[in-house]
Amino acid sequence: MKRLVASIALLLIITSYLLSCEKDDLCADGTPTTPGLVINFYKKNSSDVANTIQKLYFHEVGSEKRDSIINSAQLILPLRSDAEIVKFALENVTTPTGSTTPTISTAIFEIKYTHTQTYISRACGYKSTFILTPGTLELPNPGVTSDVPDTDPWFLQSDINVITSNIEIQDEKKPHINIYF
Amino acid sequence: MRKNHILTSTFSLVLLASFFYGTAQEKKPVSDTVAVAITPVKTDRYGIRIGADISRPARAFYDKDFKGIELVADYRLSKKIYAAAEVGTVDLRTEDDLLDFTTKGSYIKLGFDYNAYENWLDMENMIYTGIRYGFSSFSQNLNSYTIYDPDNYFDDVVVSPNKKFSGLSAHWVEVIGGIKAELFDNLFMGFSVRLNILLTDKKPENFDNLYIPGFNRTYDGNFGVGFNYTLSYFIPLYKKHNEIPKEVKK
Repeated sequence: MKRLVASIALLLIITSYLLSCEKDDLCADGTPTTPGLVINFYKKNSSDVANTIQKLYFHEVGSEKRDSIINSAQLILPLRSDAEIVKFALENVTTPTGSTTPTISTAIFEIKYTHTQTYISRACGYKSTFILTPGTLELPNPGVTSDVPDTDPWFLQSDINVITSNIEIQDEKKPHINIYF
Repeated sequence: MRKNHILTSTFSLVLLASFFYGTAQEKKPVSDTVAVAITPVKTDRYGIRIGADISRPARAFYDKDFKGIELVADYRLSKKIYAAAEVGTVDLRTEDDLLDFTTKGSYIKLGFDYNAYENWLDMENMIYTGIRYGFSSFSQNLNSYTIYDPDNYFDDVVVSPNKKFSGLSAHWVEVIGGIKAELFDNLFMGFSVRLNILLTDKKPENFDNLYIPGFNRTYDGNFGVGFNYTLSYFIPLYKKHNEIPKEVKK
């Protein structure tokens, strides 16, 4: 009898405990969720050496929202889950040695891809993963142009190296694209 | 939501307490009078008890996302053992931060209750433990979801597939603790809490069973919890004389 009362009480406690810790609603860090496009920068002349960018602003063409990286040789660009093309303006800000006025050079970077949604969990919902659309000679992907007509952007189409073994953008562990400049 | 649970637990504790209080009062005369008098001949009534859960219609009243009923029945097999069953239907929309889905389905639970409460004279109250096997057949409708992107550059993308996954099912086991108290002649009020252990479930493709009718919300590790408040009516079928106890307990 006492044992029964105790076990019912225990059941009540377990129940209320489970109900109170209902909030496993936060997506834990480290859970693989929607990845970005990982771009590594290398020096054009010696392609093994990472080329650190002092400052780079990027924004989607037509958007006011800007993001940036500072002193990094890697850029992770977010991709739109509600479109299959995204166009970024990459503004490379450099200050030549012996000068105090920075110069800004902008490249228009266009990425085409397909995406799929995969269920993760209650707390994390769904994630998008992407596959880069294979480019052709006429229509390379990703493509780069300058924002100023008839000039070269700060890196050229031929400087973009898509890592063909990693065109499925599942995570951010390895670069998907190398850029040499 | 949480408030309701607190309310629920408080109410059950009060119910539990009042039950013990009541029985404590009634037990007193035992040693004083009856023990010395003639040994009472106890008869146990056997029959079927049918009823319904009252918390579900109550919830449906204030929660527009919930519709559900549960009918309960038990049949006395022996002095302490009852065969018991619950059947019910649920129609529940869950709106989480990232997911919005509607679960519809019905369930049945079959098992036994063991009454561990020693009643005085012709009282028929129960403090029991029980076990059930549960089965549910249901559908999930994925109304909409948000794509989780830790990079906040773009606005959240909400996708509304409104996709229905039919023909889903689940099997589970419940461990129960509960009480039943006779309020008036043959009318019983009951409360039970349940710890559910999911055995198997058929999951929707590229989604999950985050709620299962009868099992309720699924937690990590295949556990679930449930409860019911029931009002039930006892239909007596026959009587059995109880063996006269050799010693009268104090």
